[in-house]
Amino acid sequence: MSLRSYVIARILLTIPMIMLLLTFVFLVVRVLPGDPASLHFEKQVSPEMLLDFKRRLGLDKPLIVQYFEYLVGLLRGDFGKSMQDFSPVSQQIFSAFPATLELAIFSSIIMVSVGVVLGVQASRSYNSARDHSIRVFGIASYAIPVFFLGEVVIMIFAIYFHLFPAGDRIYPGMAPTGLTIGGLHWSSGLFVLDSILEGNPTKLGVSLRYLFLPSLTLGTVLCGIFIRLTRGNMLETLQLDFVTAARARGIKETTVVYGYALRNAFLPILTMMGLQFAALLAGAVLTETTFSWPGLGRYLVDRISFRDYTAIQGVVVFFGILVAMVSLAVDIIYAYLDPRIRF
Amino acid sequence: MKLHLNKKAITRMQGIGIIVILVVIAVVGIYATLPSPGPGPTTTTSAGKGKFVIDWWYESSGHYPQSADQAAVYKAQMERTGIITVNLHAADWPSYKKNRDAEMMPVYVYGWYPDYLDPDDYVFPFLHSQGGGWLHMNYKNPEMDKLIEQARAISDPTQRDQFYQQVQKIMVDDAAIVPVFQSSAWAVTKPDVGGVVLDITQNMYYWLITPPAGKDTLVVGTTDSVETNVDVAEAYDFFGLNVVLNTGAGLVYIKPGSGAGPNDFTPGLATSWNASADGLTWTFDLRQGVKFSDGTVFDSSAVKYSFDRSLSLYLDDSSQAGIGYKDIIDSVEATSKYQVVFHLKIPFAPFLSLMAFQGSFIVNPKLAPMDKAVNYVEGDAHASNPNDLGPYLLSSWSRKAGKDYEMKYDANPNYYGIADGYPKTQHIVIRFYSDATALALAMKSGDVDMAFRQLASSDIKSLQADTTVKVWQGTGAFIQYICFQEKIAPFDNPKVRQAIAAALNRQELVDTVFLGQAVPLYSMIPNGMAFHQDAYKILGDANITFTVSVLQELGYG
Amino acid sequence: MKNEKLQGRIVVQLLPQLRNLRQRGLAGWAILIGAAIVAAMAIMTVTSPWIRPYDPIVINVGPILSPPSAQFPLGTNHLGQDMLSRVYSGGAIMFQVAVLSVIVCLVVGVPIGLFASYLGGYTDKVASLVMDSIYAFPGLVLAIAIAAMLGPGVVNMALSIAVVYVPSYFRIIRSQVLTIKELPYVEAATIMGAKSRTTLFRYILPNVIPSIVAIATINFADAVLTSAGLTFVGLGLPVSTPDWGWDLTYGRRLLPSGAWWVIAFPGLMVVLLALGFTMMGEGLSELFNPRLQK
Repeated sequence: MSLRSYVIARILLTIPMIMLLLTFVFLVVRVLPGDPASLHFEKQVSPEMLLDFKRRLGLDKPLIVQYFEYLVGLLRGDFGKSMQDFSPVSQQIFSAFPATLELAIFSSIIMVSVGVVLGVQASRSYNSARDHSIRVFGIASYAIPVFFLGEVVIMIFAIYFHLFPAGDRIYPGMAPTGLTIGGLHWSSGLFVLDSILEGNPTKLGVSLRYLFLPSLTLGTVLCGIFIRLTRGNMLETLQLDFVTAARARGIKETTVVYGYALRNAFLPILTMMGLQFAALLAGAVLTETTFSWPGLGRYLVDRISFRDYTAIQGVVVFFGILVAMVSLAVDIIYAYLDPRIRF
Repeated sequence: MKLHLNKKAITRMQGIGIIVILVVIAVVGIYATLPSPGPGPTTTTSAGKGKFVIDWWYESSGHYPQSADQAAVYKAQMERTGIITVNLHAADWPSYKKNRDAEMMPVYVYGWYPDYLDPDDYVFPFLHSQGGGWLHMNYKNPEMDKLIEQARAISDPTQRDQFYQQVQKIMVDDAAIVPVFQSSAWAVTKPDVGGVVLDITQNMYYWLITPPAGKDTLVVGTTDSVETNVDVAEAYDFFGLNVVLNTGAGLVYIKPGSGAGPNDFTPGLATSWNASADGLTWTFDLRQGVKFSDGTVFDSSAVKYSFDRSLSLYLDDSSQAGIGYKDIIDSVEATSKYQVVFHLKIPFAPFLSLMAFQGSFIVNPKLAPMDKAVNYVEGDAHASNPNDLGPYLLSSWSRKAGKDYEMKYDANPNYYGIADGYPKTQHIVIRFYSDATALALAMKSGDVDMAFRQLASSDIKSLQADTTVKVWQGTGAFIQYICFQEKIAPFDNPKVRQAIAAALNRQELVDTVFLGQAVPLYSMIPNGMAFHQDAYKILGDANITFTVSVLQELGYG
Repeated sequence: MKNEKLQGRIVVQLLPQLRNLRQRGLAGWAILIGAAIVAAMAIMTVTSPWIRPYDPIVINVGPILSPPSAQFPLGTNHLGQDMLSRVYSGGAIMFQVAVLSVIVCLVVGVPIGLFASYLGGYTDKVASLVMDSIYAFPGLVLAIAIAAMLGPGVVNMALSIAVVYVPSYFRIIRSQVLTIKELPYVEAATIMGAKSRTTLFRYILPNVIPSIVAIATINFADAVLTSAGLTFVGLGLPVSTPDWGWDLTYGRRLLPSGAWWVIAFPGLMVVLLALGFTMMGEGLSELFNPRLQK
């Protein structure tokens, strides 16, 4: 099957999955408790006030109509209106999302680097104490609740040792402004990128300092699977002929391992990154709350305490679509890189 | 061969061991899924109602200090009587207010900052059937109403004292509202920041503060946010009023750091004032040469416009409606270009104090339309703030994901106090933090120069021991109290309310939750204010015998 | 009789990759240690009303926020409650939620998995699509959405977690059933006239059970972590019962003042519990689902 047909088939598969997800979320929010509007007010509220509230949010229409409006709205990028002040949820999602994206990117960097390096170390000293302790670490790190690790990290690095800050994303006045050409501004919302575009090394340094602890926490908790993956892959690869041949030719061991053997693991690691993206987002929700990181996860948690069900629905749907898109992208890249996998 | 057998044996043993442990876990797990026994034996006498169950509500989004801790202590104290069970319910601040209006919370905890510094401001909004309407307790005692109205309409302290004595006695008899504690104000700054004044008004005067050495900007962190807007005609939350205070101006001010006594008023936009003998007419001479930000001259027409506007808008959640400006002020007259006369309906004793309150500040008529309030405008601070006669101009106000993110003040070039050297700091940046922990961490790491509201007591205690920061403590005038919804039985019975009040141990609450940073309060009128009496002491503290006897009489237990 | 022996042999035949006995031994030890940890914590929780020195919910049994000392070996929290007693009793809710969610998953996930994959065709395709969609979704986020709508409570938390994990059961069972279905023994049984129901329950199900046990154990671990996560986000239970998750959530406020003991010990307990279940699960998976878990 050619690449093109694979891509088309894959996209066609994604569509029903997304539809199912959207429907599922819709049902959860509308059908489960019966009526999100009344739930928002808890108990007593005058019937007129309730009806008016529902009307402003479009919740007074029959379920089928609501469902179609919901789907059509999503196509236009409308994620609903917040129950708190009727402002569009999409606006708030897009203002909070870059922070989460930046956290996800840097956590992935740590997750993969720590996982791969440890996995390689484990495979090279097969069955030694080092191997076993790394494997135990891999399992144990997943058993730690990410917010507990975050709290511990805050205690140690921010409070006792004053090495890194542990709240918010940047301190006042330091937010990078991004690219400025003529009178036009453009900023991505990713502070590291923006400070590079602005050409401001101080801001870059500050952004990284604030990013470090949350990314370290989230990356550590999820690296276990990469350790296992790399270790398994390396154990197999290091026995193959071409590795023995390279060694025989006198190539340095580190080059053999990192240059030749690791390439084999590249694709599985890439796939695993795609699979782990969902876990990354889930972990981000908890990490952002722990570190007061102003991203989408913390926005979701805030909305929960305000019983803003429409906003919760919007965020959950956004997450779902995001995950579907990412896994689609990963599958396509994988198919492009590995001719063997074409359905 | 032998090795093989041994391995088999080990595996078999492991197998058996696993099965045994799994069975243990299954049994234990099933046991654990049985409903766990409650905190105490549930004894029900044969002919009794069982324990008295209270649905106790508190606010959970950080609006009041450490509400969840308070609630846990209230619950423990009530349940110590052995005859009460408390179910705690939490609601975030917007929902809490909705619930209050819907009158669905049988018992709820609320708080209060002073608007004007007079006992009337601690009595009228609570114990008067109309003044207390915003609390929705449905408490009404005509005798109490009459006493309060009389007390606010005379100025002779001896006479007022007699009225307030009566008021406080009936307050305890009716026990419609139970004061619990009064707490101090706290601010934390870097060591070289000076000029922080935390006086009885609970105001934060940014223009008095000197910045850290070598800087012209003060970065402040807070967990507050603007609840409605910063329009004089609507703002009634702490932070909104604080913005009005620092960007707007009033006729008079209470001297910062003073005790708010009758001689502690200083000129603001008015340079002198006097009242008629009957107290129904107040004349203010206005400061000349003051300009609005657009160059318009400030004069009496602006004063008249501001008051006419607030009184005609009279929004439900405004300070004017809450305090009852219309019951006090009849009309405002601009008698000459720089003179204003207030005609009052009653000889309101704390009138001057009311003029010093932000609800009486003067707006820029060009920025504040007569028929509607001025709300937040995304990206345009100028359009979001109708106040511009004060020491600062609001130069920037941004929100992220629907929440306040940052505000910037720049020194107002037209401010009349510039000649005296104010504001001492040219620029203020206010950063809004999501919770006390984030703020405390920011203060510790030096991200902000000052942290004001709301740090947890444990944070303050540890910051007091930290030499890299300076902790400022102020006079307390913030109080918290317990409200009862009289529409819900049996909270319509004063004896039941008294029983609950008697079971409180205020000292324990103050020591446990606030680590001694607050003081017990036995009357709605705070400690240190004129006419205060420790009225509730008569019911006792942790007076469990009283509580139990009252409730048993009603059939509980 | 004969059939049982044959089934037993199929179980043995279905445990491939056991060439490395040492590996099997390691897995065995992992299961044992994990199970021991879990059992110890379960016993601790159940016996807590008798072994704890103080009532964990009574306030002011000790000074506020005092570090570990002789009288209070794990310190006291911001309400003066004894942390040792709170640690002893704090696992009850987690155990309840975990057990309940596993039961729901078994009751819901196993039948769906068995029937859908055995029947094949449309049923299988639809069920797989639904399950894959849920499986791909960030688990905690979905659990949050459901728990937010249902409200607080042990049952609601368990249901939220169960919904998120049913797809895992489905996938494991499905892959096992598909493999077993193709075996000549099973095909022979069908040819000989065995009814579908018989085939399913007497031949396929017993061989799937080991995998179910493995995934259920891992489900326990995830349920513990997810319930802690739900509590942290504010969807847990009201304040009165002692709960490790609640201590971890509240303890965050006490960090700036340096009170590390309020989060450290409950956190350690959660980690241990999750670790115990994970080790058991990993060991069991290694024995029963060798290819699948990788």
